Amino acid sequence: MTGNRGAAARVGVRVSETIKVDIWSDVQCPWCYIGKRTFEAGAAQFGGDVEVEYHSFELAPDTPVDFDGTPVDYLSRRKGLPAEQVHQMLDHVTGIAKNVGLDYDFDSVHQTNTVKAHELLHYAKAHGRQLEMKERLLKAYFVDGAHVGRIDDLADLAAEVGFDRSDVVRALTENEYLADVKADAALAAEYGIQGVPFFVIDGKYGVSGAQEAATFAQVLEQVAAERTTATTESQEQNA
Amino acid sequence: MSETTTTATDAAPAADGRAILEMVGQPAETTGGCCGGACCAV
Repeated sequence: MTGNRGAAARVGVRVSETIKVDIWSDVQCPWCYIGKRTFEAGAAQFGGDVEVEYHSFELAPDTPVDFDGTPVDYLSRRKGLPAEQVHQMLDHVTGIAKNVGLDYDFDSVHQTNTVKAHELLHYAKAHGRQLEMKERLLKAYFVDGAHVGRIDDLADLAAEVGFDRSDVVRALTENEYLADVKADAALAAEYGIQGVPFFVIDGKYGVSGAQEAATFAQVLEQVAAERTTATTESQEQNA
Repeated sequence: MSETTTTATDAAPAADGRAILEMVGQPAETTGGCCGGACCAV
């Protein structure tokens, strides 16, 4: 992107108006789904062209695929908090989700390992339908009570989105996209990302957490304004 | 919104390998997020 922008400036042509947004996220992160909605609202407020790429962030890579317990059990152990306090946390986030149109059902959630879900997201990206797959996986986990850790369950969800189920099973069984998941983790570490959701806008600005739609709109508008200024200056220099 | 089919490595942040981001918006501590296996904020 940066290289293309520089080349365009040198010859004085109009730079691309599309703004790239890289988003690190995990399927089992309740704030990531909320942040997805607020970002989408912010992008809509902005109104310009935005290109989104989701990246893998495994919050708990040590979680077994078939975790024996509920999300409350999991969080109680992980954070060392009493179950009642975890219930309050989940009630709180459920209320926030409701405000952005998401109907979380933590009583039905299957706590699991998400590495295969991340591999599926890379499979979907390679086939040009990552956004659709991401939305389906988040809804499956938080709303539908589906299992997103097992290959067969993931293949069913992928088939719903329109993928060849048998090819998805093959890709996940062969770990075809595992290296891409790990590459995303390495890139996150390079950026210093410690929590999700995390948004990298135009490779330059970082936004951490499920922020307000207006925040995302402002950053996108700022990037667009900076590009306009840079293009104008370049054209003046070439005149 | 559109989406990309590029690989993660295409998004390398800087030619010298260093990641430099200007943080914008509210501080991470005041927004909803998850880290280290659990919800870590708000």
